[in-house]
Amino acid sequence: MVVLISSIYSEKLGCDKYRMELTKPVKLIEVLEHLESALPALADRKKGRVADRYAAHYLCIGGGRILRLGDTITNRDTIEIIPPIMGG
Amino acid sequence: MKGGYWGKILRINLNNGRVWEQAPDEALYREYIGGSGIGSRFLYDLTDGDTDPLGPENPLIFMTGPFAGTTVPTSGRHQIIAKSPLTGIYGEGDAGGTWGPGLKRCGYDGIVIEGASEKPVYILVREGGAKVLDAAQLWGQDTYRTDEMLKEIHGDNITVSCIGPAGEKLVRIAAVMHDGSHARAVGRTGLGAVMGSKKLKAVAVSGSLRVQVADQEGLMRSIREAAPTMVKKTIGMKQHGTAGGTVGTERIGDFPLKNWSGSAWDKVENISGQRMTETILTGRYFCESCIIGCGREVEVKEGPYAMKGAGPEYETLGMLGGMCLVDNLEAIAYGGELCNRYGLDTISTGGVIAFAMELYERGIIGQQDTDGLDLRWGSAYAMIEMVHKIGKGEGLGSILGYGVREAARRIGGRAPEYAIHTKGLEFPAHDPRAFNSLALGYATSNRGACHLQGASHMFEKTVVMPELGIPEPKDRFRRDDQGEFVKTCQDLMCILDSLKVCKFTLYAGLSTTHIREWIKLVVGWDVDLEELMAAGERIFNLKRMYNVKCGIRRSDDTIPERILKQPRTEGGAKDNLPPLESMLDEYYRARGWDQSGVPLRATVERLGLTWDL
Repeated sequence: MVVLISSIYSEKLGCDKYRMELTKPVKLIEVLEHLESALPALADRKKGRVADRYAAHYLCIGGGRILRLGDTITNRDTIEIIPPIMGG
Repeated sequence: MKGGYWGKILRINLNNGRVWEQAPDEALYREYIGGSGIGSRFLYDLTDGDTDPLGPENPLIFMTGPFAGTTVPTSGRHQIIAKSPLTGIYGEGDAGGTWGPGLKRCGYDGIVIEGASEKPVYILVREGGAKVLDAAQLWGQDTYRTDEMLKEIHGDNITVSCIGPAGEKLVRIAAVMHDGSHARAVGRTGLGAVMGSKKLKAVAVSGSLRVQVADQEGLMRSIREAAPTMVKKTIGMKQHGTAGGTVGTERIGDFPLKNWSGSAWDKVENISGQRMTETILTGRYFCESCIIGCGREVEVKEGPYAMKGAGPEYETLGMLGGMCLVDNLEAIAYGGELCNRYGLDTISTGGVIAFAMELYERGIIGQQDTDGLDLRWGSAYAMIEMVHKIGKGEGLGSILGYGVREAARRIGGRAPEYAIHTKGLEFPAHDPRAFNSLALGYATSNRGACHLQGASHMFEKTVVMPELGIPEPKDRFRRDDQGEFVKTCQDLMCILDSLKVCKFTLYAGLSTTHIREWIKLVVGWDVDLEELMAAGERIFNLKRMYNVKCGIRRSDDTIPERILKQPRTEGGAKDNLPPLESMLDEYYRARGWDQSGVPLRATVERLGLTWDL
């Protein structure tokens, strides 16, 4: 699968795309846990669980949908990490 | 009532300077809660469909909620209500800051101002009373200077609500501003012009009374439990302000572009909250009792846009930025600052400028209409010049200051095709093509196009409320299951607008359980979920009944053809068009309205709205 990284984050993370091989479908939260360990700057030095940070620090979209942490991701998917969409 | 409310509303008549106190029954508070609810009841009782919004008979109503002045998170808000001179129907807006708690500390829950003065005046409210004072020296001053001058006269402990030159000139998109350069705006529906029509420059409050709380210890315990999670969940908003959502909203196809004709914009990062944080941000500020802190202090040190003051909100970036294709963050900050000082709603101001830019591009207006200004897309200079013209009521600005609906009528020809509004209120910076429920929400919002009167899109992003049947965020493009959902969201927003709790707390995990617990701990009432939601439904229907008195029917419950028939051609909302008519049928059934949009008698009776029948 491919994780596209919004250019807001790409400089901080040092890449604009991240590839992962998924041998079986997994939940989004598992993808993000892996991603935060591979790219620690994504967590913005915040400790705690991904669930505490998701939507507050960043958000994922895929196939036009705003993804939930429990959504299933397969190896064919492309998702994108974007900034939170609160406010206004 | 053991706490929360004082049970007193200040009445002031500017025709004769009379000041008196009214003590409403507890039933009024329980049925209408405060803020928007009690304000709408006063407006309904005091005016009708024929009332001139700029006549002395239109009251200007300032109302707080039961939590103002307490430690309930984000409760430092207040509502202003009047018949709108922009739309001709129910008008209201709300703001955070410190004014609401300031009024509460004077011993009042609200102020109802009627009549009109012959000369400029301001009102000073202190504990136990108010005075109407001469404002000759304040008239003509911008809102920041007005705030400073009143503090020079009365000391730093006062909190000021005021209008700027736009309100004085009865510009129909004028705002009522608060807290000086820590600007907080009651922007929507032109209530600054109502204040100007009364020759009322400001309402300053200063008090030191302590708002009673039924169970202070219990309240502190409850807040200590809730606050840490709320802070965590909104940390992004603290870091980058509401502007932090700019890039994300563009990515999902929600961000407004080129008078709603654009689809995607590769320059959006130039005006993002993250860019603001890296460049011009100098500090942050909080509304009273807030745990989020989305306010921005910014400074542009030099150049044509040098300024120091409140940083642009997401809405300002969307409307002065994306809508006009201006990607210069400093220029938008400066434009927002000008709006604050003139006392203009940045949403409507950006909306009318983008509308004019489109007319200019299409040759419907030309340089003969713009005093030679090259009003092309992306011109920061032109955007700033138009803000000045609207604020001063000069040239084309004097026409645009009426809002897009009336400006289009005056310009004529094909201009109305490009006026993007519902019921005369310009769209805010969220696209209903990105959230189908927003189309229904805009069409049926009682104050015209508004994302906050239903805020259904929040529940299609990340917010959940299982107790209201929303256990997980909904699909934003679904084409059914909208009527009951939007109704529920609107009723809930009426509750928040009446309690005067910030809607950003929804992102922080606010639930109706928190609300009911805090009502119990502050006021002492046991309110179950059914009673709470019935209050929201009652308030929403009362506003609708007011609008029915003003002639509103189903044909007004719509959104412009551009949004209904022209899809965004790329980006995150590509090809989606909201199915408004079918959603509207479903919605009317859920509301208990007839097919013309009038509440059925059974609905009115069920909600106890029968006193006027």
